Formats: sequence, structure tokens, C-alpha cells
Amino acid sequence: MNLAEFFFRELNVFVGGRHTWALLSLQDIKSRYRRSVIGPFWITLTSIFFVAGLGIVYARLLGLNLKEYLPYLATGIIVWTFLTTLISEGANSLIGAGHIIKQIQLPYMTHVMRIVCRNFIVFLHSWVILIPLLIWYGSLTVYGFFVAIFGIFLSLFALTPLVTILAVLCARYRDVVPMIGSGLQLLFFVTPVMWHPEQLGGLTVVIRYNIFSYFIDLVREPMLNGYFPLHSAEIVFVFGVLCWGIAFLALFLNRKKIPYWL
Amino acid sequence: MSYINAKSVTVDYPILDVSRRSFKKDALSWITGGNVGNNTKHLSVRALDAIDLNVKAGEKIGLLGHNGSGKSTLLKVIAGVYYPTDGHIVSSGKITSLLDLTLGMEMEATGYENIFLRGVIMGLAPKTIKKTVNDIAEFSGLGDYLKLPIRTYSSGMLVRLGFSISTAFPADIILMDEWLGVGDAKFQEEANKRLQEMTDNAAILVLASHSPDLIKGTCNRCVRLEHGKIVEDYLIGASA
Repeated sequence: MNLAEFFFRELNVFVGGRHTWALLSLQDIKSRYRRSVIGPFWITLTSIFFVAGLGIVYARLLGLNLKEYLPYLATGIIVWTFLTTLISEGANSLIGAGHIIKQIQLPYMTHVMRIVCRNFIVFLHSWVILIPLLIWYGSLTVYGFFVAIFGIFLSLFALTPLVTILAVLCARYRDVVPMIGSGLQLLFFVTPVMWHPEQLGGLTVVIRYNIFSYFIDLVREPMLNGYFPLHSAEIVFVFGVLCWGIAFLALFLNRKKIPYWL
Repeated sequence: MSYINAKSVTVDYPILDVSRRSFKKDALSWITGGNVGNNTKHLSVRALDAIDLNVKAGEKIGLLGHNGSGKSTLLKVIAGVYYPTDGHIVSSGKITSLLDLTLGMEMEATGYENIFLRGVIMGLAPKTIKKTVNDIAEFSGLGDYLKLPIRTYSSGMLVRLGFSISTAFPADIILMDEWLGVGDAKFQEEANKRLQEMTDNAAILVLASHSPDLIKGTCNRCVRLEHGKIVEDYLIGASA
């Protein structure tokens, strides 16, 4: 199989092969609902507790108005939770699909897309709380809502290949799995989830070279302030294109080895 | 026309123990130009050793050999799961692997849901599966059990369902590890008939087995493997 053939086989995952991962991820969601009354809403509920607790304490600590801080924090936390679960589950996508990969030939992207799609559906669950909250605080506009959706898809465009690269790395080097876990923990504190970039007092390096701050920006700005952060969109887009290139190369170069690693 | 052409196919299973899986070690050796991670030699197990095998349409191959002789590895190489570490293999035709009948099935999902799950893993579109779902349900003979999670099934029922789905769609190349013994006596008979029909309609069958009698009865060509090498290759009709 040469590069072009491989490329088309993997890309076909988004055309003819989309049923496979769509059905598998739907089944994953269903299985979370089985024997559990609220299923994936547990994640939403966790976010709410987190937002409520942090919101009250940190609004005091940082000397912020709760009315402004709460929607800011809620959007940040919900997007952040989506990002981290997607990345940590996505990084495990090839390892987790090992029993399938060792039995039947499917495009590798099928296994990655299963995780991406599953996490996106879980993410949608949290909107059930987020949207009413933002309407209540009066920050959501129709334009902002649709632009935020565009922002999410743009983020997914960049996150999918990023997760693919990590999945290949994790399949080969099992040390990377916990590495990602601890890395994400650190990133939480240096990414503007709980705090405002303005509070950094000039230490902008932390955000400027942190791709996660752009992912969050892409959703939070339209939702809260009703405008489209073009600069963040450009960076995420370029980052995504780069990642797609690396992801396909990583899959292509290792396509023969991945089954042996699992 | 379906065919399988393998040319000097070699498979080495790498042994990736902790030291070979360490990111730190590899990173160190990249930085230092390979001086630190000095044991760069791959530890591996050779499962197949320069296999040459040409299979034409109409051939039913029986693979004989001891445990660890490479039968299953060869099947997986034909299935396209494992790429040969050396040599190459080309094949044409739709491959159906009956190596793991319940692959992709979800214990908490119902029998009906699992028909679709197993189907998409086999690379079928949900539309195609929908058309045959009634046939599959009928053949499995599971009736109302199909509405229950397969967690509640006995192991025999589970294999029956897996078998019914896996054999519901025509294939050009069929890969099997031992003839499938499924369910009770009555179902066994039906399953045998269906499998016979399916393999008769397929262009190529590759069946790995420990039983020479089974291979004599089902196949028209026998390949015997030992330590990953082909030691015997003869036509069954001609030898008898």
C-alpha cells in the first residue's frame, strides 16, 4: 500500500466508513445509560458542582463579580472537561481497540473517530445546563451561539489529528499514557479556565504558546461576548492542518507496526 | 478472480518489554545519536519464515501443524491484520474472517443491536445489515432472546448469534481456525450445512486445523507448517 492508497483508505472513514465509528460510539453512549439513570449527565453534574464550588470561592479570592465570573467559569470548565477527556481517551484509542485491530483490518481512523464522536456527544450533554445558564445571565446571542458551534467544529478539526498522533505514540510508548495525564493536570492551571488572561499582568507567554487557550477562546468568546475570535480561529486552523499532516505521516510510517505493538 | 499470492512472507513478533517501550530511552538515543540505548537489537519471535504460497480461485486450503507452527499467524497475515515484516502478500476478493465470531459485540447491548455492531465491524453498511437482520434472527433461532442484552446468554447462544451474523454475508475468501462447533446437535447440523454452502460458494477457503481427517474431508489442498515454514504442500484429490 503506497501513501496515496493509504491516505484514501483512511479518509474514507469520513465517507463510506462513517457508519462504523458512528454506530460504535452511539453504542458506547448507550452503554453509559444502561443501568444508570442519568448516564453521561454525571459528567455534566460533576462540572456543575465544580463550577458552583469554585465559582463562589474564586469570585471572592480574585475579587470578581459573581454575575460575570460564573458564566465565564462555567463555559471554561465545560470546554476544558471536553478537551481533557477527549485527549486522554483519544490517546488510548488504539490501545483500547487492540482486540479489534488484531482481528480485523479497519482503517485506524475508525478507532480514533469512535472516541472523538463519543466525546462530542458527551459534550453536547453539558450544553443542556450551559445554555440555560448563559441565557439566564443574558450573555448568549443567536449569532454567538452559531459561531460557537462553528468554533467547536474547528476545534474538533484540530483535535482529531492531535489525538491520532498521541494514540500512535501511546501505542508504542506506554509511558506516554500517564505522561499525558499529568501534563493535562498542569495545563489546567496555566490555561485561562478559572482566571482571566488580563489577570496575568503581562505574563502572556503562558497563553500565547498554549494551544488550549485558543480552543477555549473559540467557544467562550462567542458564547459570552458574542463575537468571533478570528485570531484564535486562524491559529487553531493552522495548528490543525499541521497536525493532520503529522498524523497521517505517523500512521503511514507505522501502519505495519501498530498491530504488533498492541 | 480471487487469489492470494504470498512471496517469502516472514513475520517476527517483536517483544516489547519495558526497556523497549520506554520513551525516555528512545528519546535519549535520539539526542545522543544512539549511544545510550545501546541494545538496539530487536528481540523477536519468528512466527513465519519465508512463506511462499500461491492460492488460486477454487482452492480449499487446509493448514496443518502443531501449536505454534504459524497457522494462526498465516491466517492473520492473509486477513491483512499483521503485515509481513519481510516479503509481501497480495490478495483479491472480499475476505471474511471467521476467526473470532463475537468480535465487536457488546455484552450490555441486546442481540439485535449486536447484529448491527458485529456487522459494521465486518465492514458492512447498516443498510445492508438491515436487509438481512430478519434472516439472521431466524437462523440464530434465538427468538425473543434477541431483545435481551447478550450478557444474559449462555456461551452456546452467544456463539450461535456470532455465527449467524458472521456467515450471513457472501465472501470470496473465507478464513477459519478449526471447523466451527456451534450449539446443540440440531443447530450444529444447520450450522454445518450453512458453512458448507458458504465455503462452496466462496472462491477460496483457508482452514487451519489439527485434524487431518477434517482437512481431508473439506479441503482440496493441504499445507503443513512447522516452525513457521511450509514443509509439505500437496493436492488432496491427487494424493488419494
